[in-house]
Amino acid sequence: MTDGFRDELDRLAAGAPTPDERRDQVVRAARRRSRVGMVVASAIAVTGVLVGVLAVGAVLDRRDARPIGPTPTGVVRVSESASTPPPIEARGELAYFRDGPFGGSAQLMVRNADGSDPRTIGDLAISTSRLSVAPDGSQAVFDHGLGEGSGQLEVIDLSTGVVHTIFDVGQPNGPDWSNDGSTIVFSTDSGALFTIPSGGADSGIPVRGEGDGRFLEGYEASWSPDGDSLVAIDDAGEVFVVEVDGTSPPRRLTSIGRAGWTDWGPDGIVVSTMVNDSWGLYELDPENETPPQLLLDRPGDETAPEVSPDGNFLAFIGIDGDQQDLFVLDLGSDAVDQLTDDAAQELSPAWIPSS
Amino acid sequence: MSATIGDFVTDGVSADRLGALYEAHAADALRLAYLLTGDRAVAQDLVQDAFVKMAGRLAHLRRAEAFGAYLRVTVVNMARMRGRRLKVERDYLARHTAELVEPHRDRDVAATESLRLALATLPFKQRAAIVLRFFEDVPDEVTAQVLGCRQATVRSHIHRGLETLRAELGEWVP
Repeated sequence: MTDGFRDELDRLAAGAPTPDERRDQVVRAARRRSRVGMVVASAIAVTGVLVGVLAVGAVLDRRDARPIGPTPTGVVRVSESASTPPPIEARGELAYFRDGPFGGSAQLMVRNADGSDPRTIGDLAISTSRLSVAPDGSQAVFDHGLGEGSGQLEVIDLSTGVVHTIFDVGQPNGPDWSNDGSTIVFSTDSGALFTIPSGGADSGIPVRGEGDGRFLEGYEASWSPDGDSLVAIDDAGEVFVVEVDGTSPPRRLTSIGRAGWTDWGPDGIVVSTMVNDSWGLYELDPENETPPQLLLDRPGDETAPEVSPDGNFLAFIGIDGDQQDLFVLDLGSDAVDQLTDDAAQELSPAWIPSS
Repeated sequence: MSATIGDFVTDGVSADRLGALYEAHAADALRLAYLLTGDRAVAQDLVQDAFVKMAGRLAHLRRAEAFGAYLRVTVVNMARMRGRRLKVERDYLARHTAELVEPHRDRDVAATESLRLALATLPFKQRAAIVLRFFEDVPDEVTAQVLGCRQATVRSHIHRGLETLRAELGEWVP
C-alpha cells in the first residue's frame, strides 16, 4: 500500500515544471544576488574581521562558534547530520543594551553575531530606547531619557566606552545613523522627525516631506540604504516612506497591524508590527509592489528588527513571557539562533559594520 | 563537472557555474515545491526565489555538497510562509475540492489530480511531513528539524494527514 502511495506521489511530481523553462532567468537573478554575497565576503576578508575568508576550508570548519541557547519552539533549525545542512553562521558583531532586572540601568554589550564573545562596553545608569552604530563601526548613538520631557542624544565610543552628548534639546529619541555617517535622524517627544549632523548640533533640522515647511510627524525612523529616504511610523502605527529633501509627500506603505519598529535593509524594509495581540516581523516593499511578507513563525513576540549590513541576517528581540532575549534570524534559511538566555532584558540590537 | 564552493570564492560566481548548480538541483527542488504547493507556477516562483536566496549565500556555505539540502530547507520554509500568507487560497481549494475532483476517464490522471488537490487542502505541516517522508525519503528526525517540532509531532502530522487523505481518496492511501 505504501508503494502505491509513493508511486502516485511520483506520478504527481512528474507534472512539476521542468528546470529548463526558467533556467536563464533564474541564473541571471542568482548571479546578481551572488555578487552582493561576494562583495560582502570580500569586504570581510579585506578588513580582517574574518581573516582568510578566501581560505574557505578554515572558515567552514570553524567549530568554536556554535549558536548558543535553546531552540525556540516552532523555529526552524537545521542540524549537521548527513542529510540536512548545518546552520549558516551569522557573521559580524552586534551591539545591544542589557537592562538590569530592576530597570533604570543599562549595560551596553557587544558580542559576535554567532553568540560568542560577549563583552560589556559601558555600564550606563540610564533609560534608553534605541541604539544605532556609525557606519565605520567605531561609535554608537543612543537616546538618554532624563525624565520630565527632557533628554539627550549621546554617542559612545565602542572601544573605550567614553560617552559624549551631541544633542540636548527637548526629548530626542529613536536615533538612526545614516549609512554615509554624516547625519542622525530622530524623533522628538512631540512626534516630529528631525535630523542633525552626526558630529552634534544645537538645533535639529525638521524633516518636512511635503516641501511646505510643516513638521513631519513620525517616529522610529530608519534611513534608506542610499540615504535619500526615511521609513517611519505615524501615530496610527502606519508605515510611510518620505524623501529627506522634502520634495514629495510621504508615501504610505501597505502594511498590516500597528507597526512599532522599522529598519531599512539592503533588500527592503523590515517592521515589527502588532497583529492579533502579538508583535511579528514582516518585510515591506518600499515600492509597494508586493504585499507584506511574514518573516518568521515562532511563538511569542518579535520586536526591534535590525538587518545586517549585508542583508543576510536579522537581529531582533524575542519576548516570551518574562524572557526578553536577543535572537538572529538567517534570512536565507530561516534558521534562528538565540544569543542570550538570562533574567536580564536585552533590547535595541544594532549591527556593527566592519570598518 | 560539478561546481564547488571553492570555485565560487576564488573565481566569483560565473553564470556557467550557477547554471551548473541550477541544473544539478533545480529539478528536485521543483518537484518538492510542486508537491508542497500543488501549483506549477507557484513552484517555479518559489524555486526561483529559493535559488536566488541561496546564490547570495554561496560564500557562507560550509560544505559545497550541502547546497541541495540547504535548497530543500529553503523551499520548505518558503512554501510554509507562502501557505500562511495565502491561507485564503487554501480555504478556497478546500471548498471547491469536491467539485474539482470529478471522475476522469483516465483513472491514473484522475487519481493523480485528486491527490494533488487533496494534498493542497492539508495543513502545511501535515502536507510537508507526508511529502518529506514518502517522496523525499527524509527521516522523521530531519523533518522534525526542518518543521521545528518534535519527532512525535511529525508522526502525528503524518498520521493525521494520511487519515484525511484516506477519507478523501480511498483505502489505497497507507
